[in-house]
Amino acid sequence: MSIWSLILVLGIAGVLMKVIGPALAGGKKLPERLGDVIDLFPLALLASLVTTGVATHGQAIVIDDRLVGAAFGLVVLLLRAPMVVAGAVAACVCALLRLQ
Amino acid sequence: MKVPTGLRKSMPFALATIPVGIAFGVLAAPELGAFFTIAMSAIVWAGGAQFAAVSILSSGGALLPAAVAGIVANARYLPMGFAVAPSMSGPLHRRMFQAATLTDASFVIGREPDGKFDLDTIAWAAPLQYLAWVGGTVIGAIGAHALPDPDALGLDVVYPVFFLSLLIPELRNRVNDPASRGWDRRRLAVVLLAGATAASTTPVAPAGIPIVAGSVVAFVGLAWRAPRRIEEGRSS
Repeated sequence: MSIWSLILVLGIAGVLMKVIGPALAGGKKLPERLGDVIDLFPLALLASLVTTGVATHGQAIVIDDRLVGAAFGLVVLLLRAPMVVAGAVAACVCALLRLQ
Repeated sequence: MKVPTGLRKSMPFALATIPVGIAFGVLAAPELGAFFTIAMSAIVWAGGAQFAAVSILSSGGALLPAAVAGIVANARYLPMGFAVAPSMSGPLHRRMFQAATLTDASFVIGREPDGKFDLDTIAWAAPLQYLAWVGGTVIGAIGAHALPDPDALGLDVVYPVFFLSLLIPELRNRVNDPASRGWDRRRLAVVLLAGATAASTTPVAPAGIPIVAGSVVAFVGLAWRAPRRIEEGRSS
């Protein structure tokens, strides 16, 4: 396998995974039970993304300054500030903690 | 001229993507060379898959395991595609084009209050994210030595906080029962269970699997049904 093959395989596989569902089931109405699952799917995905983004590094669970930064970001969000402000606050807190 | 919703909402995510793209450029260029690094971001356009594949190569692994790792890292797009499918209409080639524009951020941005997905929003969220990803990679691959360390600026926490900002309204969202108040215990349980599943599978599973495992927690919806508003005039 060459680097080009690797790149093409990953590119094609990624697109395939995204389009298989819409190609097979596009526009079709789902049974109600499945609708309840799909309704929860973004929530579960987001929770997973936040958890892995804040508390993991590669294959290890790492609790560090990111958690503190994210906590400040959460407070800012609960105060109904825009997400960009929350992100900036979290980054600043994180950067300041890392100065030590 | 009105700015399309997807384009507007994707802007903060695109900005946050730039440092991640730079990080990939910095990581991959010593391994693949600047040309292949940039080509990879342009053709694959999937941070998870790219980081997974390159980190295997960097630690001495062969190309085949790197390919497998990259494919596995993208696995969550399979259920995401199926989740979006019912909201689609139109011919096959248009459905496939719209699906190809999916990313984590556009998946959630494109969600409508009734639980369906707005495919125009999702598609319009793609161009800025793509430009940011490839542009960041170019900067990282070519100019790494001149840049400050993104981690020193705390930039690695920005993406998760953006996802957190989407999680909060999603937690409060009540598709079936909009009039009710108070916490939805079901949705809270899903958040905690999904987070715990993603965290606990991280040490034991390859990159990408923990996120799929956490997302699969949504299947509790099969057993734990959403509360529904009682309709007027229904005979019981």
